[in-house]
Amino acid sequence: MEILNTLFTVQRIIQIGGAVFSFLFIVLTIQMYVQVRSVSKTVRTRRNGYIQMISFILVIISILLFLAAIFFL
Amino acid sequence: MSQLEESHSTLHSLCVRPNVQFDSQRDDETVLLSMRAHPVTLVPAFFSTIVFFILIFFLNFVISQLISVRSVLYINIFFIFFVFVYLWMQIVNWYFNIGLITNMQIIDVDFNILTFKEITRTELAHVEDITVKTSGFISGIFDFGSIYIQTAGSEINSEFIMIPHPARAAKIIEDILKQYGNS
Repeated sequence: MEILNTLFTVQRIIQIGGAVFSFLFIVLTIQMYVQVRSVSKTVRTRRNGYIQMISFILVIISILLFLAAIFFL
Repeated sequence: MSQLEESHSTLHSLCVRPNVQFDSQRDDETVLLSMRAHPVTLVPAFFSTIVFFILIFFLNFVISQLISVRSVLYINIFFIFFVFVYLWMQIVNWYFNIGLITNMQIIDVDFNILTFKEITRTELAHVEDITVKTSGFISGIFDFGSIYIQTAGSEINSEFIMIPHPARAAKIIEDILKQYGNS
């Protein structure tokens, strides 16, 4: 019982939840970035560069959030 | 003023002679018209973003009593990022769902940032009929509607949904067909 109590503290649930959700978020943002790159080759406009850059920054932030969930929480 | 002179309207959602190229563009092919959905179609996304932010604000009062400050900070950053990504996805979906009319063909790009990308091409010579449909109170106020381009034979029809100034766009497409439709 004591082991269960230490395993499932609120803090631990937040840590595991944060890590799982931020990992899913990495997958989502990478998929987004890949799709944006793909469509940017099909339709070329002046703003494609900015859109790709912002999508890439979102991928980096999601990776940082994942690392934060593991080391910061 | 000719219908085919360069012009941009409604946040670049209806542009004549836009600065846009596409992958299979031929050397003598020029993009004459580009169409996106009216920017007002993004209002629900902006509205839900605001609702999300309000929810996060009030959620803080509840969770700050249950968990550590560090966790509260992380949850806030995570949700704010989540909301921003949601809004960004909606904007990119809007931006890349585009219809292009060139002097040779009609290209309809249907794009979803997470799932699919569909490109439909139709030669101008195969276009049989253009239908403009405007319905509803909001579309009447903001002047947007859908344009359906029917083609001959087994080719897929093109649909441009919630285009600003649909009557004007249809007139421009008719002008393009008159000028380039038989070439």
